[in-house]
Formats: sequence, structure tokens, C-alpha cells
Amino acid sequence: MLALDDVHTYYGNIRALRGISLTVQPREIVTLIGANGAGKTTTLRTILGAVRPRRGTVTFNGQRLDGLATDRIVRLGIAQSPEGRRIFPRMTVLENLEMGAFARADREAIAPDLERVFTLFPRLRERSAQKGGTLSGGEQQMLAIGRALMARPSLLLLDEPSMGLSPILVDAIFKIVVDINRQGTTILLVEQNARMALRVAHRGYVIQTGRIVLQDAAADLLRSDLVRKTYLGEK
Amino acid sequence: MTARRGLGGFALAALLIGYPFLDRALGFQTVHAVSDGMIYVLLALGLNIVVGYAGMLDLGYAAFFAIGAYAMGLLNSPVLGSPLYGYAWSFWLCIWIAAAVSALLGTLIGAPTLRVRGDYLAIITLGFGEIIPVAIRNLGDVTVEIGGWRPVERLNLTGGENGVNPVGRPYLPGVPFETDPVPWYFLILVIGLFSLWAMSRLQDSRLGRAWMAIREDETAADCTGVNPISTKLLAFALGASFSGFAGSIYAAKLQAITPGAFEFQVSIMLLCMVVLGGAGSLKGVILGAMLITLFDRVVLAEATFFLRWLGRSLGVPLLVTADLTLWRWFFFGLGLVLVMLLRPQGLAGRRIRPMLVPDTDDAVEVAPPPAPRVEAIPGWLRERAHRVGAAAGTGPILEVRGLVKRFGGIVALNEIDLVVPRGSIIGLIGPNGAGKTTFFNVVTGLVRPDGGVITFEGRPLAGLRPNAIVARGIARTFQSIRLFANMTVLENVLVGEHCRLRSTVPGAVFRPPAVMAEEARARERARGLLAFVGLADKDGDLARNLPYGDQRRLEIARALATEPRLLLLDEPTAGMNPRETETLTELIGLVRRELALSVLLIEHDMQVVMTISDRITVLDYGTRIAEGTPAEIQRHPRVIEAYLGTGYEPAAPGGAI
Amino acid sequence: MTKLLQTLLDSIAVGSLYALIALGYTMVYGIVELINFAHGDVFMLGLFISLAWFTLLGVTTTLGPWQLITLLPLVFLLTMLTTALLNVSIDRLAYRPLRRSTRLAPLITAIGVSFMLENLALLWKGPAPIAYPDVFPSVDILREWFGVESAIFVTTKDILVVGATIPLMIALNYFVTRTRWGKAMRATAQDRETAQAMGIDVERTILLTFFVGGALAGAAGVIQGMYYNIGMWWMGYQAGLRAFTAAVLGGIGNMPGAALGGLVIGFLSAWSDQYISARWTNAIVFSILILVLVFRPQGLLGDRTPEKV
Repeated sequence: MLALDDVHTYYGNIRALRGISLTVQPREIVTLIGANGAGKTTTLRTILGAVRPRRGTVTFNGQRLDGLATDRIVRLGIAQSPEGRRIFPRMTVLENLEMGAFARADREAIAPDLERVFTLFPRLRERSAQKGGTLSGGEQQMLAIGRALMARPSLLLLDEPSMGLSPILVDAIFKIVVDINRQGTTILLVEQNARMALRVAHRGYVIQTGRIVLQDAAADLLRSDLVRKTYLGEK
Repeated sequence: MTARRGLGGFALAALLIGYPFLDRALGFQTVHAVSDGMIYVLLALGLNIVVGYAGMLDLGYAAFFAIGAYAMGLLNSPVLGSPLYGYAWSFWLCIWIAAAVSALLGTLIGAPTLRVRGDYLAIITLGFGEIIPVAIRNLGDVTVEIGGWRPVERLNLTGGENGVNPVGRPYLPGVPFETDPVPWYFLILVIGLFSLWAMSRLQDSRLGRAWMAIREDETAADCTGVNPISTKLLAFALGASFSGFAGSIYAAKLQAITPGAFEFQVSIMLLCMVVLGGAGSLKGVILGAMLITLFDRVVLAEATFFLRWLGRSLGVPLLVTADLTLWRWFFFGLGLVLVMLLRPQGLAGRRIRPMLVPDTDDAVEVAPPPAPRVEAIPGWLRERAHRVGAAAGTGPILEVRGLVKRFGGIVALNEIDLVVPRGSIIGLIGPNGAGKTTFFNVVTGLVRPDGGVITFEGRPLAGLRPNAIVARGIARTFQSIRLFANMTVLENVLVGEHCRLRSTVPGAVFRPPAVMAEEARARERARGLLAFVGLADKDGDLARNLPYGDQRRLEIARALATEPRLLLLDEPTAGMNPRETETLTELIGLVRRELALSVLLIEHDMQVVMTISDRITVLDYGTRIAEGTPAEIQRHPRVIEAYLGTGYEPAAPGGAI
Repeated sequence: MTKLLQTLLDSIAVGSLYALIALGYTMVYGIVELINFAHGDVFMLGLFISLAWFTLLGVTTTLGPWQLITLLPLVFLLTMLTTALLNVSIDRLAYRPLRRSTRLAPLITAIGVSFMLENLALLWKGPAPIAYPDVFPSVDILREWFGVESAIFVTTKDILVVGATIPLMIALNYFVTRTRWGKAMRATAQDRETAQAMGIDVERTILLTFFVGGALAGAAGVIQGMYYNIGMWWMGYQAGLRAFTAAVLGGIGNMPGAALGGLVIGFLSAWSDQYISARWTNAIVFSILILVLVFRPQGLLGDRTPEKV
């Protein structure tokens, strides 16, 4: 469904991605893990068109994404829960969710999707009239994911959903991630928390200073000591 | 080449000197207008200091023009009821007094307002530019009454709407400053040439470099030892004094001052001159001023004649009544828009462009960076290091206790303790958002802490501005390189020396031997540092044209130029290839060893951190979770948990977690 | 006492006008961080354009009751449409190419546009103040409707101002809180990159903002003409700066703040005109502007946004 081929992206004058190649098959959960500064968020930004790669291609269902404007990419069926949540602070929960559905052509289907999100995240239903900026970290994360789901994407990009959350919340969020995937959404999950990510994913890529250094089935990566060594700089 | 230059210069001089006599002989009578135009050139040059050199948009510049003119009026006009009149103030003295008064006003206005953001500052200057004419118009009849007592009755300070007329003239034996425009022309010419000379001297001086650095990147300049507030204030006051100077001459020449001459339009016309010509370039500003004055006084009138003639010839009544002089503000506005859209650097200015991204990475990797050599360490730096090292005590160079920083509801730093022993390299690591850069920002003074104590070499750093902290001996580099992109490599390093040099305005303009010696020493030192980091043959290149690895090393050279004893490096190897990383690591080790520098370093490249650090501190969500040697940290369970998630341990063979 | 009351009444009219203009400033600033210096001149042109529409429709004297219901709203709409399109064109031609540059370049451009507009008005209408026909019936309410003798003047024109401004503000509020595009505008102002990631076309949203802001300025121009019966080519500059002060006072980027600021500045300028002298009012208003920008740049209702390091 999604394929990155030898992508080099520059971030200002820093070369953040040095030849990234990865694939995501339909209905998979693929995780991209690595220490911070390694290039995980840059990879997602490249996919979404926020930055343009210098070299390499990004293909989605056969269509080239690199060079397209972000709003066009989103209309093709990709949605994101960004790093740091980035919800609209002065808009209510409901309005945030409505914004997630902004680009949809099938406006009649929005109401049932809203219902689905509220079922998935009951706490959001309770707070639907509250301003986004007043929610707790965990609630904001739920809102960010919910907002992305409102676009009814075929590919969902999750950027560090565990950041800033207590372990209990992290467990809850990842359980929901698995649920969403079971309901048919393909997920590319970027995480620093390797353990959680590898437990829910089917396959994993480990990125380090802009390069993919390990790739395998998630279960295998979980078992080996290579991930830990890579993260903590052991040779 | 030089012969042609000399000839050109001679021709120009001949033209300038001969022009008024030529004009008189031919009966053109343009000298008055040209002299007035030259006063505007003088004003534009003054505005150039504020806008071009220091990068502040000033929309109320005409206010100082007014102050200068009215100061002259107050001192020299019989019309105003000023108690100062009557002492036969010499014109020659008054112009300096006017300049000083304007400078004082500029300082009073600037001191509280210059720390405000650029576009807001522009509006504030506009506000002052509006308030002062209002005050002038209404101070023609001032009566102060306290109880039944009237100490001030019907005092005429400004002549109100009617203005001031006449104003006293200059007196020079043998030279009549009456209605003949020629003596005025030469007076203004001489003053203009002196101003040009002074300004070009200023541009190429410690102060000029500081202004340019602020214009390029104010925060980086602050963290390199340049006090942005006092430096900007100096530019503002200097610009104001120029304006006041010109205003007083204008008043004496015109023999009449009216409030209408100092309105917003005048400020904008001056801005047009600077923007069109190219802010920051002296030639550009003069060109811009000449073009605008020419356009305003000549082109519009001539074009009107032409259109009318055309209308009469072709029988088009609309053209016959055309009057292009009514369109002047339209054309000025259009000019501003077109310049901003098409050529924002003006006709002669340098284009301010952000850093270049290298086209292909391979070309860069071909030439390996020269390794830093021990012998290349400049002698003076080594001497200083040993002198300081000998005098220093044995305590830690940096001690942080209980540091707290909150942003809204989030605790970014939660009672952090950190110690940097003298001469050590300490690594600071942690997952995303752990607070590492916030920590740096607090230590370097960019952010005020909410609690805790920072002690550097035994003295607290509380409340100091970033440039003061640099002067104390802490230098830093930035995660995303913050060089002064459009300055040369050498100039970047020279800015680093700013806080160790002394010269200011008089030194820059008059260049006494002490200042010349200081500059020469500074340049020598800078070159030595560049040789040390491996940039010896590039000192004339613009910083933004350097390849990425060189830019990193330049940043370090600039930091070393401030003569620090503690170096804070924020992700110095970000984006580097393995070879460059190795060279940089060597460099860091070298400065610690040979120069007795202490280093605190944030890094994401774990291999680098583990190799180079003596000890490592780990932050997570603003809290210190571990501290120890690299080997200890690699095995520390909380660290593993923070980076990899809970329960992530090296698995027992054959089992899952 | 009556003097104070009258001042308060006068300030409602002036304050409403400033509020309408300030809303345009604050909306544009909120979304592109640009001080649209030419905004006040759009207001001024709104007055002259409405005059042109009235003339085109053959209106030269006071409107009768039937015309008040048909022609008046028509002229309002036509003028607002014209000024909205003008504002959009200015953005398209002069500001949009500079989207990625520093904050100062578009400000300089905006000043240039302002000068161009003022000069065009000068050439179009001449330097002298232009009389605006007494289109709206001016009836002293207290005396003629209620038969009350009073030193205070309340006329039907005051009703006009309130009657035009309040629906406009209600409509604006509805637009930004209930409609899809209005919400997109708010989202874009709060976080442009994330808004883009939602599929919102940021440029179109910005154009929409200029459209709405321009329409409001045009409406203010119509009201100004009908209330004061006079228009000058240079009035945009002063009104613009005072309205900008109102926007800053309320909190730049904050819409209720702009409305509040408008009323406050309206009251302050009316008070200053009455109790001090109209000659000093500008100085007083600009002093407030400077004080707010230096000591409390976020205004009364805005949030503090620190600069990123």
C-alpha cells in the first residue's frame, strides 16, 4: 500500500533521511522505532508532504506522493495523529473531530463515524463541548487519534502516541490501536517506546541517524538484543 | 585599474565642486532644490543606520527631524518665546545641540521599546511619529496654571500651526549665508561627505559587525556575547542624532519650520529611499535618495508636461489636464510594493537569503575534513587557558542545584541537579521532550528558571542576560546551526570576539592607534582559530556557502573566540556522516585536553556520547533519572526503560518478554 | 452628567465602527501574522464606493421607508462585496508572494498599498471633504417620538449603527463557530501545519479571511457615510490606526477582543474629544497603543505566545 524507496530528505541544512526504504502492506501494523533525532518524524512528514524529499520516491497505492501538496495527500486516504498531539487548543473536542473530517467528500457518513469514535473513546463523548487545550495528555492523545479516524483513512500514521503518558494510558491507547487495525485500518506507527510498539506491530523497522539499520518481524525484533544495543549505542 | 578609479574620482569631485557655478552660469537655478535634496540624502543615511545596519523598521523617523529643526528654532528664533533665545547661539553650536537632543530623545524612546518584536516596534515608532507632530501643533500656546498661580503663560514653544519664522543663520567670516544658495550647497556637501566617511568607518568596525549580527540572528548574537538591546539602542540614538542634525540645518536654510514638513509621509519617503537603494549599503542609499528626489521633483513634472503636450497634439482632453505630481504618493507606494516583491534587497543591497542546502551529498563527502592539529592551537588561546587554569580552584566549574522550569502547566525541568567537574566532558541525554535543550537555554540565560541555583566558577548566574553569561565564560552552539549566514567566515569569528574587545562609536569612526591595534590583534586571533578548526583558507567565504560540516566547525570556532571556559554543545554531530563525526569528536577531545575547557554536550548519537563522555546525566520528562559513567548508563534499568519501554531487558535465550 | 451620558452615547457609534474595522485587522493578523496597513483605506474606499452605488441607483435624497428596506440592504451588500473583492485582490497580488518571508517585508508592502489606495481616492474624489447625501433619515428620537425634552440627543442614525453592527457581528460569530469554513479559519489560525494535515486548503482559507475582513470594513464605510455625512480621502489612515489600537488592546488575533477594544477606544476618543480637545485625541490613542505593545502585547483578552528559541 505504502512504499518509500531510497528517500533522502533535508531538514534545513541537515540531512535527516539517508536513503530510507520501507513498505506497509494493507491491514498491517508496521512500526518505525528508533532513538529521537533518528528521523522518525521526518519520515512521516515526508510521507505527508510537509517536506519534499531530495531523492527517492513515496508511493501510495501506486500513486506518487512526493511533490504533492499535503491536502491532496490527505484526500487520497492518509490521516495523521501528529507528534505532540497538536490538537486545536481553542476549539472544542467536537470541533476538532469535525476538522478531522474536513476533507471528506461523503459528508453523510460523518455522523456515523463520529458515533464510532465516541464509542471507541467514551471519555471524548463526555467532554465533547470542552476546549481541546483543557484536556489532559491522555485525552488529547485520544482526541488526536479520533480526529485522524474521522477522515476514514485507509492508512493511519501515528507519531509517538505514547509520549507523555502514564503506562496505564499507554496500554489503553495501544489496545485501541490494535482494535482500529482489526476494524480494517492500516497503521504505520512511529514510536520511541520500542517494547509497546513491537508488541502490537506485525513488522518493525529500526532507524538510526537517518538510516534503516534493522528490519524484521516484530516478534523477532522483540526477542533480540540488537534493538537495545542500537538504541543505547553499544557497538 | 586604479588609474581609472582615480580619474573617476577626480571627475566626480570636479562635478560636485563645479556644479553650482555651472548652474549659475547657465541660469538653471536648481541649486536650492539640489541642496534640499542633499539634506534628504543625509536623513536617508541616518535612517540607514537604524533600518539597514541594525535591521529595525522605523516608521516615525521624521519625528527626530522635527526635534532637530525645532531645537534650532528654540535656540535661534526671535519668534518663539523661549527663554533660551537671546544669547546669540552660534549656528555651529546649535547643530550639535540639536543632534544631542535628538539622540537623547531617541534613547528615551528606545530604551523601553526596543526589546519589542520587529513589527510591533515599527508600529511603536509610527506612534511616536504621530504623537510628536500633534504635540508640536499644540504647543504653540502653553499655559500652566497651578491653583491661582500661572508660572507659564501663553508660552510659544513651537509656533503651533504656523510654525517658526525666521530662524537665525550661520555666520562664517567672508561667507554670506543669505539667499545665495551656493554657500549652503557647499556646507551641506561638506557635512554630507563627512557623514558618509563616518558611516563607512562604522560599518567596518566592531560595532558594525555587531549590528549585522543582530540583523542576521538576534538570538545567536545574544548568545555570542553581543548585547542586542544596548547595541540596537546605540543604532537608534545614532540614527536619531543624524536626523536631528539634518533637521537643524534644514531649519536654518529654509528660514521657516512648519509642522507639515514632518508628517508620516516624510518618514515613508525616507523609508522608500533606503528600501529602494538597498538597506545597509551606503552607495545604495545615496542612489535611492537621488532617484527618489529626482523622481519627485523632476520626473513627475516633466512627465506631466510631456503628457499635456501629447494630449494637445493628439487632441485627447484627458491628457491635457493631467497632473502627474498629484500621483507622487501612489508611485512611492507602488515603488515600495514592487521592490518588496521583485527585489527586496534594493538596487544595491546584499540579498539576505537563508542558508544554502548542499546540492549533492556525495560531492561534500569527497573532501575529508582536515583533522585538528595540536600544533595549530593558537598560542594566545593556549596561554590564556593555562593562565586561567592555574588561577582556578579545584571545585566544579558548573554546579546546578534543584533547577525548575515550568511552561504553563508542564514541568519542563523538575529539580535538576548537575555538576560539571573542571576539565571534564559531561554528556546530557534523554528521550524526546526530556528537557535537554530547555536546560541549556536556562543555563545560557535565554530562559528564566522558576527555581534552583546555577553556580559558575563559584559565582551565581541568576538573572544574567545571555551576552553577560558569555562574558563570564560560557559559550554554546545550537542544534540547528545559527551562523550569521550573510557574513564571512572571518566576520563570524570576529563577532565571537565582540565581548572581549572594547571600541565603540568614536573608536570606530576615528580609529586611533589603540583601536587599530585591537582590531589587528582580533583578526590575527580569529585567523588562528580558523586554522585550528581547519577552515584556514576559507575566511573570505560567506558562511551560508560553506558545506555543512564546515558550518558546524565554524560555529565552534566562533564559540571559542569568546574565550570560554565552559563549552555547551547542542547536538554537535547532528546530520554529520561518520567521518565528519569522528573529526569533530577528536576536536572536542583536543580542546578539553589542550585548552583545559570543560564541555557539556547534548547528543543523540549514542555512540559518540558513550565514547567521549567522562560521565553522563540522563533526563526523562524533566527529571534526572540516572547519572554515571557510560558503561553504567548503558546497563541502567531506568534508562533502558525510558528509551525502550518498560520491561525491556536482554531476553533469556529462547524466551519472549 | 448629561455631558458624560452624551459622550457615552456618541461613543457607541464610534466604537461600533472601530470594532468592525478592528475585527478585520485581528482576523487577518490571527491567520497570517500580518498587520494589514491598508485595511483602514479599504474602509475609506467603502464609504466612497457606497456613495457610487447610491448614485448609480439614483438615490440622492433621504430614503423613504420602502427604500430603507430594499435599497439600503442592497447597497450594503454591493459595497461589502466590492470591498471584500478588493481586499482579496490586495492579498493575492501584494501579500501572498511574501508568505514565507520575514514579518517586516509584508508590512512594508502593506504601507505601499495603503499609500496607493489613498492616492487613488484623492484623485478620484479630490482633496476636499466629500459630502455624503443625507440618505438615512435623522430623527431626534427623544423629542419627536417620545416627546421628551432633554439635552441628550439620540437619533435614528444611532439606531442605524447599532442595527447594522449587531447583526453583522452575530453573523460573523455564527460563521466562525458554526460553519465548516469558519472553523477551518480558526483552525488554520491556531496551527497552520496541522490544519493542512487535516486537508484544509490553507491559501483558500486565508483568502476567505481577507474576504470577510474586507466586507466588514466596507460595511463600516457605509455606516460612516450615512452617520457622519462626510468622507475624506485621508480618513482611512486615522481610523485604521485607531482601529488597530483597538485590536491590539483587545488582544490581537482575538475576535471578541477586537469588538471590546473597539468600544473602549470609541469611548476613549469620544471622551478625549469632549473633555480634553480633539487636537490631542490622536496623541492619546497612540500613547495607549505604545503602552499596550510595550507592557502587555497580548492585550486584554489574548494569550501570551512566547517566541520560540
